[in-house]
Amino acid sequence: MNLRKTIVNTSLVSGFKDQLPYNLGVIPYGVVFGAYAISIGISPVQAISFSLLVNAGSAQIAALGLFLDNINPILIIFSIALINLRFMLYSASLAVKLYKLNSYWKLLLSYWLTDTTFLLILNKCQLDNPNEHKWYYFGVAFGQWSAWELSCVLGVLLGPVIPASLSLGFALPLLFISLLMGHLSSKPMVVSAITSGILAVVLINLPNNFGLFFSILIGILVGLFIEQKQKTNRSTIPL
Amino acid sequence: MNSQSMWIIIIGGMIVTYIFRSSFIVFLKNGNIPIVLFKSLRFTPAVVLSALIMQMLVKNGEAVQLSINNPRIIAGIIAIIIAWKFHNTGLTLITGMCSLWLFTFIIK
Repeated sequence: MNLRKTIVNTSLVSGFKDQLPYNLGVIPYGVVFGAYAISIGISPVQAISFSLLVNAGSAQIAALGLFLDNINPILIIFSIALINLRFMLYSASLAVKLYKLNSYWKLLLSYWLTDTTFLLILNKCQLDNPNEHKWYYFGVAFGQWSAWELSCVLGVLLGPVIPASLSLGFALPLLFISLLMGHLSSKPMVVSAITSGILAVVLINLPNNFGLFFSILIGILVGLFIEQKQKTNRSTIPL
Repeated sequence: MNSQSMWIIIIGGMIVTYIFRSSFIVFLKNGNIPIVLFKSLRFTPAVVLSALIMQMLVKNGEAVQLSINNPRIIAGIIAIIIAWKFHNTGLTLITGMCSLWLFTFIIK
């Protein structure tokens, strides 16, 4: 019993500690979301429910931008889906480490799956010990989640105080830029990102923002194509 | 738009997001997914982010403004260079916001 308690405590605490520096990135983001939501006329209850129920920053802020542009709600949900598709990849990668847990744990930990949570769990949980995994995951995810929710509330409260001329909404593309740099790890990634970026501008006047959809699709195809080509080139080099 | 369509977005967003998150953790026993899907999914974050960033930079208010007189484009380019050089979120945020304020002031 004591040993079990020790595992719970140390894993939980080390998870919480490991995520602390990442709170610095989460908090301004949450404040921007809350303040932005209020500034475009969304009620405090809706802004906070959005964060509690969806719990995914980039998708939430992008949805607000599209809402402001009077895009059809179904298309906005579709955009949320596109932005959050990556969670499926994360889910697939973590499933191997978490499959021994019971359903309640799986349902709770799924709700808490985010970019930072995924990266930290993948980095740390090498040992095959599901009990340690779940408490470490709990520590990381709870820290990230509470920082996100509390900073959203703070943003909602501060929203009316921040003047529009400061154009704080510009923080969003800036945070996206910073996030993007972390993903440009290989040549196919870089080329696919540049392709979709250029296409998004060229096709920006298509109705219902279909330009966004096409640029994403073509960007992915270009990335896959280049990756494939690199592989064939490499395999033809004589040893 | 009204608050009802915002609720539709919130509930719909919750459902799709939760399905993606729980997909493999809850429903798959061994975590194997088709290789083509896995490869495509790896590209989505970079591609989606890049497209969103570019659209946000060229839009000045409601209108698309593709010119050097759009302070968002200049500030965005500066932020991209800073982010690429230093990989620091706080620094990117501060430089980007200050550049935007500076160039908005100059261009006016």
